Amino acid sequence: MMLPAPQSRPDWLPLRLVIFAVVISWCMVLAGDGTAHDAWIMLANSASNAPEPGGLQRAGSTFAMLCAAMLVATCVGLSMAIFLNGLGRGALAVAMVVGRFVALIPIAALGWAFVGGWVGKLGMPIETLLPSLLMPRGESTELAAGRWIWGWMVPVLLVAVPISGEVLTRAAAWLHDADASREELGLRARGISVARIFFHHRLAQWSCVLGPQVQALGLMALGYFVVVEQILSLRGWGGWVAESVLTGDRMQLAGAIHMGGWIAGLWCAVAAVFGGWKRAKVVQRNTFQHREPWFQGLAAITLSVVVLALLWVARDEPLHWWRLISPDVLLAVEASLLGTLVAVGLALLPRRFPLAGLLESFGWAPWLVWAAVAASLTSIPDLGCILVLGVASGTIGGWHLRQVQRINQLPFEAAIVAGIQPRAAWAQHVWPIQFQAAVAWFAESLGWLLLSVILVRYLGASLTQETVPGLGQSIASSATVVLSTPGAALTPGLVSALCALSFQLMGRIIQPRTLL
Amino acid sequence: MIFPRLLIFGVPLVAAALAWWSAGQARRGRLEERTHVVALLPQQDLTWNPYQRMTEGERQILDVVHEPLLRIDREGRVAPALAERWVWRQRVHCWFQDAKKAGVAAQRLLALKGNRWVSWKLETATATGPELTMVFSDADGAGAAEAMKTIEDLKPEMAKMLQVSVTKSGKAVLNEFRKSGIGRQLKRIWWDDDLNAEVLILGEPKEWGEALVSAFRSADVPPPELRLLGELTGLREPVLEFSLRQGVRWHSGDRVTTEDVRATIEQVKRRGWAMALEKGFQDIQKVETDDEGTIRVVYRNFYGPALVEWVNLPILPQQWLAEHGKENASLAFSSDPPPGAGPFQLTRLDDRVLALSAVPGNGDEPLKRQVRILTGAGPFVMHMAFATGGADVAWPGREGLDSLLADEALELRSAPPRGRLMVLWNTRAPLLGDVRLREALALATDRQALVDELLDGRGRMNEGLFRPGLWYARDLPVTPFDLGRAQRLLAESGWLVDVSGQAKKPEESLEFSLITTAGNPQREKLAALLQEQWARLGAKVNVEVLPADEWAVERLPRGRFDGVIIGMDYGESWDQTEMWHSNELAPAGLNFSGVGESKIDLLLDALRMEFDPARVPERAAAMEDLILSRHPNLTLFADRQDMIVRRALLPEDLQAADEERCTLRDLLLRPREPEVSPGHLQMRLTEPDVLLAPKLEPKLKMRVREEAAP
Repeated sequence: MMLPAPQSRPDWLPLRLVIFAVVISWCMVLAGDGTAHDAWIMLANSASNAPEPGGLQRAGSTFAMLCAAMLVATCVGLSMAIFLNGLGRGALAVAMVVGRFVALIPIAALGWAFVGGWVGKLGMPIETLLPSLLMPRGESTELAAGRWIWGWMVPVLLVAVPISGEVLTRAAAWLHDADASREELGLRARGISVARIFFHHRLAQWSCVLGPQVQALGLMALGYFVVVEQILSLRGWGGWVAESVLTGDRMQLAGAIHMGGWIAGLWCAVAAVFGGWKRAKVVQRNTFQHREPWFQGLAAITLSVVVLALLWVARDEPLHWWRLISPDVLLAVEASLLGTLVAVGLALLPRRFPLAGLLESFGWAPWLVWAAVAASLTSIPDLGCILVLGVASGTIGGWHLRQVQRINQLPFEAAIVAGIQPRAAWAQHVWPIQFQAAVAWFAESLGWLLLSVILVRYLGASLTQETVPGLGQSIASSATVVLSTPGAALTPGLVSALCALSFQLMGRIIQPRTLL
Repeated sequence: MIFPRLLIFGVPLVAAALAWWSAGQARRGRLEERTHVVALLPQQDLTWNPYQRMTEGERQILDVVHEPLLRIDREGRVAPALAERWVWRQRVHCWFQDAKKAGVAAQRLLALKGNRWVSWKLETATATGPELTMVFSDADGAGAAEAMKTIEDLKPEMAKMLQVSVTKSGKAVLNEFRKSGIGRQLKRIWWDDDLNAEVLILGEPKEWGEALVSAFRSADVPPPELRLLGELTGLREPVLEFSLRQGVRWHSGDRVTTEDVRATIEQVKRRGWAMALEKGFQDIQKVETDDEGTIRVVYRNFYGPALVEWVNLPILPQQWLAEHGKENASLAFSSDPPPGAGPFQLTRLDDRVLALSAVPGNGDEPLKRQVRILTGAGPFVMHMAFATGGADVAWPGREGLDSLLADEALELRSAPPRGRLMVLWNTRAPLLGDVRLREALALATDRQALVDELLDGRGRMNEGLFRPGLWYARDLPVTPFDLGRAQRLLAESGWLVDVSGQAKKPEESLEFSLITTAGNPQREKLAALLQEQWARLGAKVNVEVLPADEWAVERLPRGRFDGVIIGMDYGESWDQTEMWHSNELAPAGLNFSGVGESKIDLLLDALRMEFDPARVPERAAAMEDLILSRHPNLTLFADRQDMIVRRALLPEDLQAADEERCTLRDLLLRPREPEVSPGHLQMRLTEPDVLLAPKLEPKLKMRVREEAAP
């Protein structure tokens, strides 16, 4: 999912998320021929009306797993980045690409591949899939505790994998850039150890950015829990969403969305408390020169060429990956283009767009969740449009803000004062930057959107039995054979990750400074 | 600086360690030796109603919870369950003018006690008022007639049998009339349905009839129609006597009594459950019980296979039936499941899990203490459960079976089939009346190819008419596919194949129709495959896809068909009268094939009247051979009730590689020691087994009429 820019985090984000979820669930009840009274009743009783074990318990378990997954993912990403930092800048450059690649693997593919390998290949149990109800009472405390913990560890670790990949990418990028900064050189010249520089100076400085980024990643992970709980038959909040989509029960869906808003809000509040309340504006004050390593450029070009060549070669039977991926790519392109054009249009407005604050809220909403919910309300082609339009419009806010800030930094006023015609000043200073940024944005967002489309189509195929050919459906249909062929789900997942990564890296070549 | 370091590096390490340990514990939990069995059932909602049609898995689970009076054992024979012993008896009633004469008759018979009684198999002769009752230890022996001859000179009264047809409220009036003075002359009444009955009366039918009409008129009910059917001096009634096993208790703790059996029978009849439609069950006239644990079921007609109808009838507690007798059956069974008397009791029943616990001391010795059953387990869950050692038994569908069988620790076992698919020929159709053509079609049918194509190779092929696995059913291999022989046979019967491949006779071509059921894609595919196979023989088959209602009501009873694909359930009964007897020819009966030969009728009658299970195999084989030689049907394949079992769970006697059978009962209970010598059925006879000539009764509702006046 598109991650909002850290500096675009709006004030009172938890409250905005709750209000947003309340409005969506309210609208959903009204759209389903319900009355305003029904909507209020739903809001009041959404926790108690949820299927067993109840809304609060479901939301509580998912929230706990979310916190645990984010903690594990953040620490794993950071520790790996720190470890690789000791190996040199080349290792960090590789980590940035590998981390992003891992982050782009659809969680559904990861989940089913894990199930296939763990159960089918190794014969190890997953407690939630194999009902622990079948186990007799009276087992030892150690055994019971082990089984109980393992039941929770699997979803936590699964969600932590792509998130830790993303954290690794961002941490590696930070360390890579900081390594060459004047401040770093100064600290080293004063004889301060690398570890002390990192933990005392860098980490404290970076927490301003890391906090909002972890917040945003947590909202993305919330959407992942819908998929993971569906795969693992967990009876948490994600499972509630999946069950409601499966049954098409609007009231249950509205209740789940409402509760999802509270989880998202609570997560943002918790992340803010532990990550610091400071806004990421500090980043703007301490802007450093981001330099793209040569490795990424080479990797991007190579990957893009290889992927495109593979897609072209395998366009015919029996692989027909191109046929599988093309509908998803086309949909992502369509939405990304639309989103980029709208964002560029807003950025070109001389003053800040009046609804930018609202768009900021949109940008921080857990769109994957709303898209999963939309799966039960619309047919799958419309669903894709809804998802992608939602995601694109949501990101406009962040991009708009960033571009407005960037334009403000340009010597536009100075050029006018120097006697250059405004049109010429625009053509010389604004348009080239805007165009470059727009193309880069388009390419980078394409990767995330592709991932989103695949995940939503996976949910559509798994829950509502929609049969739109694509990688999502391919992952969903592989679920029936993963136990005998564990790689069945991973292959489409890796193909989609490779494709998405190549799009993203192309964007990085066009504009290295853009960091989504 | 310590805290961030600890956090950043400690959390991944702790998470990894925790995951490693907890996964190990989970694994250990699965692999530890268990005292319980975990079973997986694909069905989600279980009705828990043992009288309804259900899947094999459900049936096997219920089979360890509820006990019938009799069951089919591992060898396919009738074996004791709640009933410890059973025996067929015959009661003969005759009436005299007064009690004195009846007493004299009884005394005369008692005076003959000794060798005569043994040869007649007479057990008791008692006079109650003017009625003499003799009880014989066999149901169909000739001893009754011999005994009657000895008291013939005392002139027993001629009882008259009348057919009575009443209107809607007439049944109540007739029952009331029985209590009046002349009404007491009515000795027996057998209701065919609510409007028609046969009655046995003493005295003059005319007087009795007038009194009856008068009673009807006074009740303002249209008078009944009366018709004299015949007269007889002795009424023979078959009686099946069960002796309950002592000390058996319901899972609720109460003792199993004969009243429970009676209540179960009444409930099944009242509810009209499937077994109530069985012929023997419909013939139950009366159930007598005593405090010593004996149940005597008095039948209206002589019908040997009535015995095996009891193997499918679980007995329930009278108290539970009284409490839930008027509720909706499905609701009653699922909301408050009845206690059983089987070796396992239900301890948990919810929407996902069933739990059964062993009940020691109720007869069978359990090998496992608990059974946990997960319902709604699809192929994925089954595969996962077996892969992780979490399951021991499952009843999978065909989907996903291959992946399960890839696991070497698992075995595929199956229970006897429950139904088969066949083509029923109309032997009276102009073309298919030729038995050689029907045989040629059988030879030209590649049944293995059909099984491979339609059932992924998982079907049974058995030519026989009876359910494989039963003591009297032979394992008859199907007619082997031999197209060459089929073509020669066809040529011998005058059919020559022309250049287009069509078999022809002068002015006639080999073309017939094959009906199959609309809305059943598998059968439509089967019809297409048969069409293709028979086309190689030169036959042109026109497949007619018709709704079941249409072919079952319009076409088959009227003989307007050549061949039809039908599915038929096997049963435990050896009676095949309905399908092949000339008395059952369509449209009145169900003999749609039109087979009607006196030789077949005689064999069918003999088999139907066979009360000794030991003699059934021989008779069944003779009948089966004769019918199969006529090729009135073409059995295509039977189903497989597959079951996946963890090999380690199999008892030693079922571990042989060529062994195929297995049920949940076999896995959970120690096999009983045979109580009689192997090869002999566990039938208890109180007298030496004297070879008796069977008495044949050509009509279903016939009673002994050898002494009846014209």
